[in-house]
Amino acid sequence: MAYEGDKILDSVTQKEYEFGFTTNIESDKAPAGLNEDIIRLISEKKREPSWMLEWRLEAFANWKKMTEPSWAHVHYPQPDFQSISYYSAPKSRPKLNSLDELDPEMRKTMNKLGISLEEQKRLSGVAVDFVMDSVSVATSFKGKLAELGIIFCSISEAIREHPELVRKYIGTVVPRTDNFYAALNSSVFTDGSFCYIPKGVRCPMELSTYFRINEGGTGQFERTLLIADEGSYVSYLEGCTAPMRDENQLHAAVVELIAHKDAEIKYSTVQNWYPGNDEGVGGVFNFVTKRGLCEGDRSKISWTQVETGSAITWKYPSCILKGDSSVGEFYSVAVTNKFQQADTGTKMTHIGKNTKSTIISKGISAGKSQNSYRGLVHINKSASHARNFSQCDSLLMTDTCGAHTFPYIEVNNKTACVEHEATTSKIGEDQIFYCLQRGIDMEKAISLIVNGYAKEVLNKLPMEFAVEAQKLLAVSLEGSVG
Amino acid sequence: METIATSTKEQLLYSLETSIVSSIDHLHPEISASAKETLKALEFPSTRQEEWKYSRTTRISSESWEVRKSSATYDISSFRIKDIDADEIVFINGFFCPDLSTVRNNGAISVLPFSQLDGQLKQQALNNIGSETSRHNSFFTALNTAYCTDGIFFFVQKNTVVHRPIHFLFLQEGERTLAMPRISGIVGSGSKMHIVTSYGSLDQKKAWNNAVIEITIEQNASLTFDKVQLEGDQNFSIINEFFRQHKDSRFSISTLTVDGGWVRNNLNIFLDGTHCESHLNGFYLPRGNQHIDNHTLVDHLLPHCESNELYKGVIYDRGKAVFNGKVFVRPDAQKTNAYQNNANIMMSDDATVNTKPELEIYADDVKCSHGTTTGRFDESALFYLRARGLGEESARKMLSSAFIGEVLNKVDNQFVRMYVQDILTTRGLWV
Amino acid sequence: MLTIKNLYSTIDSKQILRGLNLEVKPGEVHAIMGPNGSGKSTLASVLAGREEYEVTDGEIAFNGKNLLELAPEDRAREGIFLAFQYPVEIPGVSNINFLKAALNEIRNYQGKEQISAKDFLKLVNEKSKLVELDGQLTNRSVNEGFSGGEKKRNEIFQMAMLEPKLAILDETDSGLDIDALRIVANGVNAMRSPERSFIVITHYQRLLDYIVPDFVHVLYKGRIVKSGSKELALDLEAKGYDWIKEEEVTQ
Repeated sequence: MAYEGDKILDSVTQKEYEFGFTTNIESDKAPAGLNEDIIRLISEKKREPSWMLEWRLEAFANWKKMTEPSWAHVHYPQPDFQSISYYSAPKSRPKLNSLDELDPEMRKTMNKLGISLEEQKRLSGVAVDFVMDSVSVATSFKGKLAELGIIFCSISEAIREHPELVRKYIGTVVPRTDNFYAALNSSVFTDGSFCYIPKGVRCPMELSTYFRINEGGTGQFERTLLIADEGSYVSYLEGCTAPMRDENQLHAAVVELIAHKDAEIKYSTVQNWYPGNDEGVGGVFNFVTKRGLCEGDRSKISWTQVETGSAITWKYPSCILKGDSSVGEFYSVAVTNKFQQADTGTKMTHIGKNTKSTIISKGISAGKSQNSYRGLVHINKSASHARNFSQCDSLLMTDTCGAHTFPYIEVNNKTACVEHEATTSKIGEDQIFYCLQRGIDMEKAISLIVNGYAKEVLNKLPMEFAVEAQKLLAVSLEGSVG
Repeated sequence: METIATSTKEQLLYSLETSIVSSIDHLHPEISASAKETLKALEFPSTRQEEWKYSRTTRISSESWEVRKSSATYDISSFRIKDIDADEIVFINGFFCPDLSTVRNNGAISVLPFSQLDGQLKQQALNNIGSETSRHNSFFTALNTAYCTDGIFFFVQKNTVVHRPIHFLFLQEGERTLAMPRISGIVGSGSKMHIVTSYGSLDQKKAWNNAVIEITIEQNASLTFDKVQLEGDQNFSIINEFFRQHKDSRFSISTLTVDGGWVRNNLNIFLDGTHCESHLNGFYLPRGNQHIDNHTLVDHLLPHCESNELYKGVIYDRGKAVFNGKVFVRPDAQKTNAYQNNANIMMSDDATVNTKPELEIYADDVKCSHGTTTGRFDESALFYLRARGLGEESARKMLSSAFIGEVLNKVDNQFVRMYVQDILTTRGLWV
Repeated sequence: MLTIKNLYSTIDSKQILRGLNLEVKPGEVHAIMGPNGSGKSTLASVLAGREEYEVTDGEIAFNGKNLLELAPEDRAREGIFLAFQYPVEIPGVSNINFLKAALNEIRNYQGKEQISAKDFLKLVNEKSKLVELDGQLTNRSVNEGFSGGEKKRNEIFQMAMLEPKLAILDETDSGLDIDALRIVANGVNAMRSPERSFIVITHYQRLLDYIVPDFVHVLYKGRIVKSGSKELALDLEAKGYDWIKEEEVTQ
């Protein structure tokens, strides 16, 4: 069986990266390097108000004093921050009245990714804010959303059109001093999404942004700000693929969510960036700061992620449960293969009374990869009757990979109840045999078992994403059993 | 902060350099010299280091400590374990007390201070000391190596069943004394022995104990190790333990922390042979302002080994408990079974628990799991007891006794178990 | 012995008891029946002092004392015993130590001497026979690994050991087969005396064939809507609760 497995492993790992292609669009690109002038240039290009520029410059001053974090269980060459270009925008920036006016090259890219706007519009009612490199080029469903008072636009546009909202909320959940990468992002972010759901409004469709790294050597510094006002509801989808590159690409996004009283935010991610080649060369460095604030009583933030890509992942979507009876959830499937390294998990900070959090993390390691769960559950003294349940499981596919669990549990209130369970095991041979005996081939068996293993998380994804995620898991793990 | 820490470190090292010659120098002077080199490079541990995130050492580093032989005579009877019939080895302030101790040197077992070692025993001791600590250059281990106050080496010959347990007592007296005792030992292949260590304060004065225990368990040998911690509220206690297991060996350790103002246990177990079995159990009961930190490492190096870990704590008053259990499964350690469980009950609004069970797994055909729970007593159990007429206080006591009883019942030796039970009863912690 | 006047009680701000009245004299056996959700178990919980149940109005006097002011353990010491519907498992606490502690606490409260180990064991032997409880069970952890029937027998055994003045049996019969039911009922009957009263909460008339009540009450929507002799139970068995509900509507 092992021999058979090796053969399949070889055949799969020889596969070229499915989404590895480049779109040829002329780019307006800033010279490489990072200094105050570049930040001024970015701010000017974006036609930002002066407060935004000052905010960026302060962040930059902070960043210069900070050092890269070293505690994560990942190893990589330190990026040269002076060799990255911090701004690139498609030159032929189209002003679109309809999708038909979109650059044909870009349309082709979208079709190849299987995210044709028309298709999505027609079939699933998804509004897509498509980001090619750093600038939004197409936004749909805007009119329909506007009727409900929902603002869904690029962050640049929001800075210009809704400065009062941006200024009120930006940096309140992820402060500019939070960490090295958040500070860097705050200085140089070029685009991203902004979303505001007014009081009592239930957003009728899944809001979605597909990010895509395009230009070689371009750092990606998206900034997402999502505010759900009292009693509102929104489900937000984020998904990404990246083209094949030899050099490492840095991605340091910041996502901030704010849920007011009785509001609910569901944030789902499928991440499938280029993981590097079979020798572990190249691949995206994914250093993301995602954090949600349950500001109001009974608010709820739910993170769901399926992480299959990137060479290095450093990502901890977190919840600050400030409002009484607020709820935080984290559902994650992280797959690593080849030489990928992932250090991902969540932080649940309980401040309000009767706050509740649930963590379900499913790690799957194959190839020569390293897959770590790192999570923090912090129960503040004020958080009476807080409850947490964590389940962190790891599945090992080969004897050359690693699976690690680093849960930090800090309890400062006696009425709290915190439970953590973790298991690590090999994919069940008897399960595979049972499938084989029923006539199911090895690959399908693994796909079945892995999807079953990850089902608890996959079920949390919106329908359209769940299908894509299942496909991704199967592709990422084909023939990877040892 | 950094400058203070550095200067504190230098002050400490300077005062030790001028007051003590490491007792390990008798074996080979180069061991302490290289430890001193290591100390130069290492920072005094602080909460900025991941390993010390939850345990502040500033109360140690801000104090000036003195290595001092005790001249007073004390009644140590309360630290003796009734009816156990053990050979006692007594250290006071880190110095071996021959008058209070039984040393042996016969064909089957040798238990001798470092200073009395020669010939083959000396060589064995030297090998044993070099083997562990050179691989673990933590600050406090290196500090003990560089300035060891006194040490005992024991050697159990092949296929020997040591009937009498050895009981090491580490006691301290006097204001601001620093003790750095060391036990180094080898349990020969096919042998069996029982060791008890206990730690205590004779006068409840402020003291710091920085001990190192390093024991090699040879092939098919079996060691049972009980550790009873009874130190005072003014004590700082850092116990660095290293156990290396060879093929087919069995090891069981119980860490019973009844009392201690500030305790850090660094327990390291290396499963360096196939088919080894390890059991680690412990309880801790921080009360008042006590701070009890248990760091355990179970390092599975080779295949077909099994480890079981159970640590339980009841945290009272402003007590603080830290648990960090690390399980490593190295690439060669296929067919490993590793289980870890940490459970905490919080009895007060001001209590704190920081727990971090870690699994680092580099082999695939393994079964590993860990679990941790932190919370209050099961309210329905409490109500049930109260509905039967038990006062809330005694109901809680009964439940906490049952809770830590699970750990205490794993202690094989009934005299140790009764000794600890009696102390717990006196402290009002057992019914 | 027990007087309940106009009792109102809520759980999670849901109104369960709505003006319940009940008088229990020494030596009497009262059966309380009623459809699901009528408040039977709430009554038992309120009497035993479960904190989740809030008493919003009314009073309960037990032998002249205001029961509502007493902590659960003091109610037990005053002589109230609740046989739980779902006896709780307590890992690590031995049944025997548990009982000894309980017995001594109650004796202490009543100004009696602590029981000697010898007398206690004698008592255990004697009382465990009453419910045909295996000696092994008394040494195990409280209810841990007990079957449903063993748990219920253990409850009655404890009752026999603690000799309460008022015993409340909360659906002690549910989940029992006929043999176990007979054993449990025999245990209860052996304890009947002119000083001791029982409140038997049950869903099934079957139990009342074995423990014959002096009074039967029907609890509906948090109040006792009908009281009568043991014949009422037979009527309920034959006709169900619907006629009671209809009567309630027409009134």
